[in-house]
Amino acid sequence: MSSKLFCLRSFPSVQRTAWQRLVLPSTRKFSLTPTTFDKTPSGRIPPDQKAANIISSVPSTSLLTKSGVLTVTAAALATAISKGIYVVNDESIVVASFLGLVGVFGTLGRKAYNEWSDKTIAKIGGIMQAARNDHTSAIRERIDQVASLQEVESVTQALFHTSKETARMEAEIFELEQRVALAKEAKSVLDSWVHHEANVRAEQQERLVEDVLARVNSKVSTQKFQQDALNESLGEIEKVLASA
Amino acid sequence: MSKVASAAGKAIDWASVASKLKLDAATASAIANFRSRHAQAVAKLGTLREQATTVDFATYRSVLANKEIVNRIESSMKSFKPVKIDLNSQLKAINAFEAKASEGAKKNVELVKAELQNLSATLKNIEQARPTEEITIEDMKQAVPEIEKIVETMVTKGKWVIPGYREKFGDLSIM
Repeated sequence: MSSKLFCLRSFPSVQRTAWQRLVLPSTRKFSLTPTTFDKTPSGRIPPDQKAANIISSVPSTSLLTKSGVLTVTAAALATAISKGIYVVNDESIVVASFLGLVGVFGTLGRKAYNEWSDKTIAKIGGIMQAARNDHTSAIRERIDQVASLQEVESVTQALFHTSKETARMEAEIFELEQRVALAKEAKSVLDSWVHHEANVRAEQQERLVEDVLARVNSKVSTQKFQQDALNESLGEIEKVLASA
Repeated sequence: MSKVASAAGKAIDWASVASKLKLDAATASAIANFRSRHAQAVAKLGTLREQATTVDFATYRSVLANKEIVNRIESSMKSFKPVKIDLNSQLKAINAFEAKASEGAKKNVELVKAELQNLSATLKNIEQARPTEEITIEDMKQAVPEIEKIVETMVTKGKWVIPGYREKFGDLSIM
């Protein structure tokens, strides 16, 4: 009840009408145009179609009820006038003129009002749809953010697998380092032995050469060796002179 | 070869793991250090495997006159036992830590999936909802019952203006 009171008191009539249009846009009647105008080339409506339009404008469901309502209305009006209940006077003429003017102004302002109303409806609808789209975008973005976190389990397992592999590798590295160091040391020791034996052999050769040279030199220095060399030389010379 | 295949199957996308899992700077730095340590281990192991761990004793025996030294070094090489790292205790510690970490990761995955389900349900509700033009005041009352109470309170206190409404939706008055 208070809600209805709030609605009645808070909205002016124009706002109320526009709000009702917003809430129930399908109930608009100003935008409805009779479609039978285009079917008559001369511009005049045939009498049967005009009668059908009048009957269809009565708010009822069946043709019989609509005709009955029209008949009763006409009969009641005729009875009222004939019995003096309703007297046609200047006030009636003023009311008829006012209603006519209202109809004319309504006809003139229909297009502009419909345009304004459609624009307002589209604006508010656009605002609401934009809000909904923003909400959808925010949720999609959040879904994308959270979806990437689903891989935390597989990444954790992969990291621990890598950790174990690293530990095994480091153990193997430690062992291989020792083996490689031992091989290098053994090779260097053997190489030094090879070098040492080569040096020893060279030294022996050198000593032997010196010994031989010393003995040869001492023999060359003796008197007997020199005399024998001289005699041999003279013998050679005599041979050469004899052959000439 | 099987180890290489296993490593390929377990390959981690190192470049994007930090950004994908929303890790902080300290954790990302720790993962980078871990990655570099793993890479160094792989490289060093490859280098060491290429180096020789044996000596050609036959050549030395044919060259050297002193055969005894070759025999002694060879027997020493054969009897060498390298010092080993206690790998079993390390693996046991890693397994224990992995059990705890996997449990935490599973809980996180369950929370993430629950939130994803909520978000998907919300998204489906939004997509299946009627157009905004078809929503009536009665529907709003049913969806959010507090609106009616708020409106009654505002009417009682004489408040006729809703904050922010005019700025957002405009004014329906012509003048």
